[in-house]
Amino acid sequence: MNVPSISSCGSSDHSIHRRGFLQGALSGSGATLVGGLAAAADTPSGDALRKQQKRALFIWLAGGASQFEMWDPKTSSETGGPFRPIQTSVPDYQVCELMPKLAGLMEKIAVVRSLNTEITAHAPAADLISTGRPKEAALEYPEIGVILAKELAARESLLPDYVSFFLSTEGRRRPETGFLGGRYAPLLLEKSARPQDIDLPQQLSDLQHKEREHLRQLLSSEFASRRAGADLVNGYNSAFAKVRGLMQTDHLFDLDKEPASMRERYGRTEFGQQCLLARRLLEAGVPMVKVARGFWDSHHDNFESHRELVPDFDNVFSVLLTDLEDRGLLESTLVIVLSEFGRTPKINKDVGRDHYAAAWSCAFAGCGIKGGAIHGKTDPDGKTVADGEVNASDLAATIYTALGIDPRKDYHVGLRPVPLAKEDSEPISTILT
Amino acid sequence: MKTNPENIGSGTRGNAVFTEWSGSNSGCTERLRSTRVSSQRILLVIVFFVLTHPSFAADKVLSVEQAAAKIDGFAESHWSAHGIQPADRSDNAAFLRRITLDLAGRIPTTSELDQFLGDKSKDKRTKVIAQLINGPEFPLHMGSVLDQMIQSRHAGNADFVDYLRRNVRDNKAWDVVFRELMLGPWDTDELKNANRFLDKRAKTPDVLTVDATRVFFGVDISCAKCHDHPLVADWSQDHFYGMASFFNRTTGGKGKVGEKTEGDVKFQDSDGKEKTARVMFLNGQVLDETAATESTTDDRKPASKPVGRREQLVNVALEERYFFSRSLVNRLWQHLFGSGLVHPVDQMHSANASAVPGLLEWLADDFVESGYDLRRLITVLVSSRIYQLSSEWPHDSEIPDATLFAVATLRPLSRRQLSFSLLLATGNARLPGPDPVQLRVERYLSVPGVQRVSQYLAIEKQAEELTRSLDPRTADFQSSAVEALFMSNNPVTQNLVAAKDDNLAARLASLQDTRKVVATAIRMVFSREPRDDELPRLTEWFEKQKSDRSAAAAQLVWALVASAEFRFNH
Repeated sequence: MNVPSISSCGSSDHSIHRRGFLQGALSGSGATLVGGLAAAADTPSGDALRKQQKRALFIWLAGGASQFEMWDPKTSSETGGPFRPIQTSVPDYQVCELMPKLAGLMEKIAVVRSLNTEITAHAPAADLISTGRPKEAALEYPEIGVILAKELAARESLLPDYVSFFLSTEGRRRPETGFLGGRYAPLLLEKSARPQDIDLPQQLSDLQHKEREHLRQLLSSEFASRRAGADLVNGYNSAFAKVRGLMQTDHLFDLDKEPASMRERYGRTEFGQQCLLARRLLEAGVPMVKVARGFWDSHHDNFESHRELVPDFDNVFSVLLTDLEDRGLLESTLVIVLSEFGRTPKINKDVGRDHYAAAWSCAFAGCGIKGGAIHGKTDPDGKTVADGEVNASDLAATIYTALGIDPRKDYHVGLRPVPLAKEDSEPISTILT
Repeated sequence: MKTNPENIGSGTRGNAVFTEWSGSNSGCTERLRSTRVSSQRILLVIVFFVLTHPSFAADKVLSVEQAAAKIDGFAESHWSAHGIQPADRSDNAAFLRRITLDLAGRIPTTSELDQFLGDKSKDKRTKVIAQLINGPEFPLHMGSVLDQMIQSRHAGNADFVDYLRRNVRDNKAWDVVFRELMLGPWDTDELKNANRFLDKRAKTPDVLTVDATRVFFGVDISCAKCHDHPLVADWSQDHFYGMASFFNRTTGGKGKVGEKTEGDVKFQDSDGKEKTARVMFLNGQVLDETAATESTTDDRKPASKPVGRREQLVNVALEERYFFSRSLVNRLWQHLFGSGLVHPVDQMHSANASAVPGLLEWLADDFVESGYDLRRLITVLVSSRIYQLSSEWPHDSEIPDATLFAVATLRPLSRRQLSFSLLLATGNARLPGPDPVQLRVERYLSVPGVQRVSQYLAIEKQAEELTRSLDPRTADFQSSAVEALFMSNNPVTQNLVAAKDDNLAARLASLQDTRKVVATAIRMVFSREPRDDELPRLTEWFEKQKSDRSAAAAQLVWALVASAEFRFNH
């Protein structure tokens, strides 16, 4: 039979994972695996290992944050708005006065001021930025975060590979796993800051929960023996083998475990507490975390809303960077601040700014990033990119490169090799170490 | 047949700029150049086409038994060519579970199980197939299956599903369905939702082109957009833009689909030369606008009006018929057997041979001969020996490759199948037979099965909450921890297994004899009799539970419904 050459998407890749799962499943019952998790979380050697592990935090400013009121302030009377630029710790670089704390930390942050991503409707723009590719027929791309989780995850880890927060009412997007499939679906925090379904069901003791799972596993394995397609059952059983491990992570989601002073530093806003939670997860070894902060879509009263949102961001982001650095995690953690687009130079009749993708900004810090690097610039009115134009694919290539992942690495979808970042993309070398 | 050799594996390679459409050129041509299959395979391709396109015999349509025997003939020579003794015939309970899941989208009830196991007649499998396929649930289930197949990510619209369900109920021929999806007329309540395939894609013509070609012709030409297909000699840019030309005049996106009378597809080849695409079908047949034949579907149109592009496509595809018939047969085969005879199902081309030589070709021809009769095709497939094989491999040898179809492979249940089955197995939904009064009503109104339709749609509604949280059945299925967590801890699933009213756990808790508890649970959940070895073990497990009998019953039910034997069709 010469059909095998026409095997489906990355099946060899999947079979490697399945083997990995199988080993995990064979190594013992759920209880043993939970023991393994506890060991990984507590021993010093696990600690050292975790610091080397690379990880990423996406901070998604949903709705489109204004570059003018953040990274690329203008003094032009037509487009500048009421806020003034202030000098930062990086020579010749100014940010909006709403970010005084970050101004003093700019040597840790890299800014790209020359994004031109063309699309100005929320959903398609968010698709573009979060996958790094234009939509294509017959091929559904995973979100960059999903790929990062797959690439950065430690195989034996029982922690979730990807935790994604969507508590705020705006910008609720579930990360698409595309052609990678359900195995890479993130753990979603949509209703509360605690994952769904990790609590022991009511009226069930821990022992009962364990015993019925043991019986389930036993019945399933017996059923699978000598069956065609038994690897499906192995995958099914390994998904269940993760359950008890995930239930043991509940302490990671419990902010009461943080000192009150730390909670105060991050600020008692939803965004602040989520970033603190994100730091706890990253520290424990979750390789990919996404925090979404909504309400940036300021068609009305842009300056009023940014006067509220930006100082919160200024505080939380500066505390987060300092905290990650104090814990020795910043070096290994890539932090990405992105929106689906920026906002118009023109101030509309409602004193708002509309969607704008022709010239806007984003920021990076941490792993693989040259702190203090400012890439590209816009014209004095902020209407066009004057230098160093960058598109969404280049952003993706930059993210992969910063984390030491080859952006040209191929996944195979059917017969077709698909590189992680689009074929014609270029990483932004000026902001990379 | 009108294969134009010029258009197969030839054409210019290069970066195309598709001026009118979205999407940019990609740089992958360069990377792929080294792996490209030589276009010298033209000859091979022609030979392939000639060999696999025998002219139709004039003989009349075979009976279901004859056709099923024909399938087995292909399979048996395939097995003997590989020196393989296939798996045994599935046992009766496994067969009943499989066929009920495939034709009604749910597990059998215990009374259906009893009736089937108690039936001593030799042709009881034939009888149950006929019962299911002529029963009220088959159109309801199959309509949803076709919706998934046709709409994929856009699936789930109730109006469109109902349109498809009516088609299956009335056994509308597949070519007629295709014509309605592509051309309408969409001017009646019955048909107005048939435009949904086009409407959901009309705003992105490249997506429309690629999806239509994948779904109806089993071919993914997306790789031939920016350059000739690098790995498949059959597909050149001319094919992509040729197919695109059938759709570029289509308008829609807001519920109303139309077609402009003008507009051609332009693209640039590698020399930067702008080309106007020829209107060309996958077999290389080029269609001339002025020479188009008159419409036969709508005689209200004035005779002078040229035939629309989509109508040209429907006409040429049904005249050529190989791509159209094979794609559907192959997709249904995948649905019933786990993988396509040609796999993946959108990779039907000369370099991707069918797994069982000759079988797909014969089935497709037979399908055409039968007048594109879906119900007959499915009846034939499930009546074959190959469909009714066991999923257990009885020999000491290694389990053979799936492409040999020598043993039934496990198939994950779709979300619908699983959520329906969860409700039925746990006794939280029921499908009682019609009561005498209802039967009289049905006879009086001449609408048999109306009560079952109501029951089925009520369960469908009840299942919605479950369906949302389960893993979809995909070509490359993977179980997620999300589903495992949902099954393990979510209140919705815990409530299903907890004793309540007279659901399964409640009934089990009321039984004094633990062996009876275990046997009842296995019959309800696994749709079979308990095996000798598991009865004592599970009985012992149950008695060891420290909790009261009702909690222990819930535990047992959970372990069974969450186990692999329940999660997969086997």
